[in-house]
Amino acid sequence: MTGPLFAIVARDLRLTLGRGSEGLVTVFFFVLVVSVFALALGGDTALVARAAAGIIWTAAVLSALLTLESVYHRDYADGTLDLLLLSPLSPWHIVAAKMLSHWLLGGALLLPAALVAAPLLFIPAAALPVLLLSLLFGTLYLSLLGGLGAALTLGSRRPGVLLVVIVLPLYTPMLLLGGMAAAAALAEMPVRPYLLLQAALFLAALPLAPAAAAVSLTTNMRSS
Amino acid sequence: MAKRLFSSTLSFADVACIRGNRLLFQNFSASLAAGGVLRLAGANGAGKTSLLRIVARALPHAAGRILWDGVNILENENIAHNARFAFLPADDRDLKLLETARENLHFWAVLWCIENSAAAIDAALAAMGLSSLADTPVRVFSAGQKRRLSLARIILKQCPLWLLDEPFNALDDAAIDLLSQAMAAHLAAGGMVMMATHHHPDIKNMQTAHLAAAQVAA
Repeated sequence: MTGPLFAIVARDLRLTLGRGSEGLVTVFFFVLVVSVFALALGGDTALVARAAAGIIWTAAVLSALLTLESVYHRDYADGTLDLLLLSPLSPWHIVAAKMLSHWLLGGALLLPAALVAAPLLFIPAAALPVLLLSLLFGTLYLSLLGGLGAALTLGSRRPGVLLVVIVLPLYTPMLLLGGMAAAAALAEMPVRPYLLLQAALFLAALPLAPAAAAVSLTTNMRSS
Repeated sequence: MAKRLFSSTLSFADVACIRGNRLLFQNFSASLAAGGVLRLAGANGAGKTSLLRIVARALPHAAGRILWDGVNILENENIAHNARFAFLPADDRDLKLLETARENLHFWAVLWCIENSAAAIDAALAAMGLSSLADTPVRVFSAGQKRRLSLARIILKQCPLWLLDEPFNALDDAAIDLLSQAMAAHLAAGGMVMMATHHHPDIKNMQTAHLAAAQVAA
């Protein structure tokens, strides 16, 4: 099963990167949002440092939302999704592959981008490992739930706003834990419980989100 | 005499289809043995595409049974059914324009777990007369060349049942000959073909079913 799954991921990466700038837009957006915050808060070092975790997480959520609509959209619009769902590969695997490509083209790139953004927000180097680990779970979780949201809104006339309204509430637990983990790291408090809870959220979403999205896509195909 | 690869049978019993609130057809019955061809005819909107999609389970049926080797495929949610058919949509939008012909086929060869894929891809391209365009991006293909590539994908899948929606669209005479040869080879191997077309291809033992609402067909 892994061959076909990675064929889908590899094709998504190749086609997206083949279109040039599109692949990196998430990263630039992320760094820009962080810099806008840093600039808008002026030179108040203490204020920026205190808000740093919140700013990083807000920027990560916004940049992931930016590309969610396109998780299935291109394959849906050109009929490839139909043929994929009519292949012997299970819909769960197809959806999981799509979510993995979304993460590789967005969330995964935010980890190095966060390293670039950290000095802008006066985040000390000691807090970086925790921030990165927490962002790793957070971005994976966002791609899973975002892929579910994109599946639910596929074919609707204006999916953008609907998608945000569906995905953001689902994302709040991860956002809370991520913010708390980062705050604890900055205050040099124990971070383990927050990271473990983040990992647990991710592991719960890992089988469930693709399963729900698969049902949604199959139903969508059979009713269109 | 070609080697017989497939020996499955397909039969329809009183299949009906409703789209929206409209009854497209009902009491559709037909049967196909290994090597059989069923041409679906009927006016635009009679439900030819819908019937093909019902066989692929991409559309719900309103009533009836479709038996594959005697087993109703409409009741058991068995993903293995998807390995039995190759589906040709009426348009060729699903080809990725940025990829070459070979890359397009390679993706599906991996997805379908085709053994010996490089040789199989070359054979499928050759069968539709696309060998010289194998490494050309599909974005510069003409409508007929795209159709040939979609048909090469059907050949590549090496499965018992071909579900073809308007296979002759945009094809020139040479391509129609190539498709007829490919179809003959598929049938000689024991395969089955269901196609929706207004053409009258010259194929031995072809059955034609006329789809129309509230009428017993075939």
